[in-house]
Amino acid sequence: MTDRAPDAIPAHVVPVWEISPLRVWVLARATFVQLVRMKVFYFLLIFAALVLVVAGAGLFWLPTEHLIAIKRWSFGAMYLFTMVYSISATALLLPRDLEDRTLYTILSKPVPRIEYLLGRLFGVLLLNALALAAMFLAMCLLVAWKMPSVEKQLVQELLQGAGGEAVSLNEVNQAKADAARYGLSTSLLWAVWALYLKACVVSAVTLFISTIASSSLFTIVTSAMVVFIGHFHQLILDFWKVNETGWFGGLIGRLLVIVFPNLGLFDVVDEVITGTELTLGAGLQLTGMGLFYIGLFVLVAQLVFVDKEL
Amino acid sequence: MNRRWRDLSRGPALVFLVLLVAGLVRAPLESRLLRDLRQAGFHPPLRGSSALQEVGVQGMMGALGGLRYMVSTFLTLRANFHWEFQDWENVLQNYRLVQVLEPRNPDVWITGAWHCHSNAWAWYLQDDPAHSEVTRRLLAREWLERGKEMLRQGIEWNPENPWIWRDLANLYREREGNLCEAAECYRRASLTPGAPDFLHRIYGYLLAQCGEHDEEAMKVLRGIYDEGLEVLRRQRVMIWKPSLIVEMRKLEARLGVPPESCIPERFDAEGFVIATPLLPKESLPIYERLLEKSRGPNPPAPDPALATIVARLREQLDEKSAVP
Repeated sequence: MTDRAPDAIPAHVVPVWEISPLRVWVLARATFVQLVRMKVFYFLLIFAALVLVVAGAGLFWLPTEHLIAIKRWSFGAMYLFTMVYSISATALLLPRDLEDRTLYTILSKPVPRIEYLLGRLFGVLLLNALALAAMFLAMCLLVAWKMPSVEKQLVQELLQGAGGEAVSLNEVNQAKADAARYGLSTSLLWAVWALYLKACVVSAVTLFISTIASSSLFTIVTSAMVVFIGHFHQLILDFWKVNETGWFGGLIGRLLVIVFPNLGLFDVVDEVITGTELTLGAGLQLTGMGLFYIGLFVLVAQLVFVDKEL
Repeated sequence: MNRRWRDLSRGPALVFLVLLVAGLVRAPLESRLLRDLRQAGFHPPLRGSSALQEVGVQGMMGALGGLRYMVSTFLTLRANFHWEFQDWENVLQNYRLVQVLEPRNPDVWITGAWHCHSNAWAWYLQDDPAHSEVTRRLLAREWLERGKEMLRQGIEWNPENPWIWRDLANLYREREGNLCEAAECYRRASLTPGAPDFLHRIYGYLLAQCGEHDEEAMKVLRGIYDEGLEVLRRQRVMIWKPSLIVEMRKLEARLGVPPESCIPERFDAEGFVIATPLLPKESLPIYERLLEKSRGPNPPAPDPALATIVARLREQLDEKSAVP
């Protein structure tokens, strides 16, 4: 242990207002470059191949199903990428810095530990954002390319579905509006944003766990478990309603719900894909909740890391 | 002791306390957000046949996390694969899972039910080599009922979707010949928000054809006819269809409507075929014929509304031909 006086504020602890955005940015950029060198962007090639196969293959009966499938597979791939990447990349950072002594080099300079944590986190988030943006753009291009043929098919179906009845211009326009509902909409932006927020929360949680953990493997496994439990909030709440669990079971369940982040909240993609509109208010609330979680887990990571003996 | 306590307070205990307090702060915020999202159609509350099944479904959804939609697509593909081999039980099983995963998607109910009430039904009636004719009829009936049940469940989840109602109506009409029930389903379909106009028209026709609600049918068809008159007066698009005139004439005969209250002779079914502004070239001769017909004996003036439509269509055609 150090010889510092017990109540003195350590030199590497700084108030929030003294955090230097420039230093954080430098660290974030370095993290980003470090991660890009790990060739993570090759995943984008796999993504492109996957969505092209889905878009090209006539796997589905309904024209709307085809559009939905393109979006679903794209979002599924985005989800896999962001989750796996958020956990593994963040889990690797701290142990690797310790192993190759980069951490000592950085922290021996006047860099507060919170800046180090934020820089590392933002590096991961930046790479996540760029990869998601690229995948989202590719998906939008494919949907826009497929849209006219789906619109045509829907109008044809409308004519057939009217059972020999002639349809008016208004009805044709309605069919086109239906097709548009399955196409590109502003809600898709909200969906990808929600996915990104979720990835950010997972990264922040992983960062917190990596400050406690002694190995990358432990961090990855524990973070995966947290993500898993994070999707079970509703189940835990419903389980109480159905079963008498006793006071102990109830206490454990409540603690799980209170302590673990509710990641299921961010799962809005499926409904958006099938045409449900996410309102601005709900989107902003979701953003607020995401930022709250990120702030919370950065704070607890800092609480652990600030006094950690390295 | 003091130092130990200090270390502890800096360590796990402090972290746990922060997480606990934050959890208590966010709980009401999360509840509000969840309520708003549910109102907007997100995070549908799941339904199972029992409370425990509901919990099981929740568990499955939780385990799948954000991959729910991808798994659902895989299951749809798997159902299509089983369809190729007429393995109807597996088709049904896969679609039931898909419906659990995305109950708010009307397409999964429509397609799943279609496999039951059309594909499996027809296969058992015509192609099934393993059973006697009586058994095949029974099996076909069973699959028809499954399809019907699936559509009803789909309606429970998506009460505002007109197309599930339309499919249920067509099932009653085409498979069971129950035109009154089909009419009722079309009525419900026509009441959903954003339902196309033809659903209301078909409701009227089926009501007229079912033979049990002639007066009500006449009221509905008269309403459509009057709307058409109004549209015509506003010099826009002709919306009557031949079926409307045909059905109204039949009803007039059955109900014994006095000749002065019947629809005028000049509004003959022959004249009122499709005439939308999409097809000015095809609709012009129809309107011209109608215009000729509308010339009454005394005074021999053409209908001004029809005259305006004809003039407008001619203008449209001239404009089109003027474009190089």
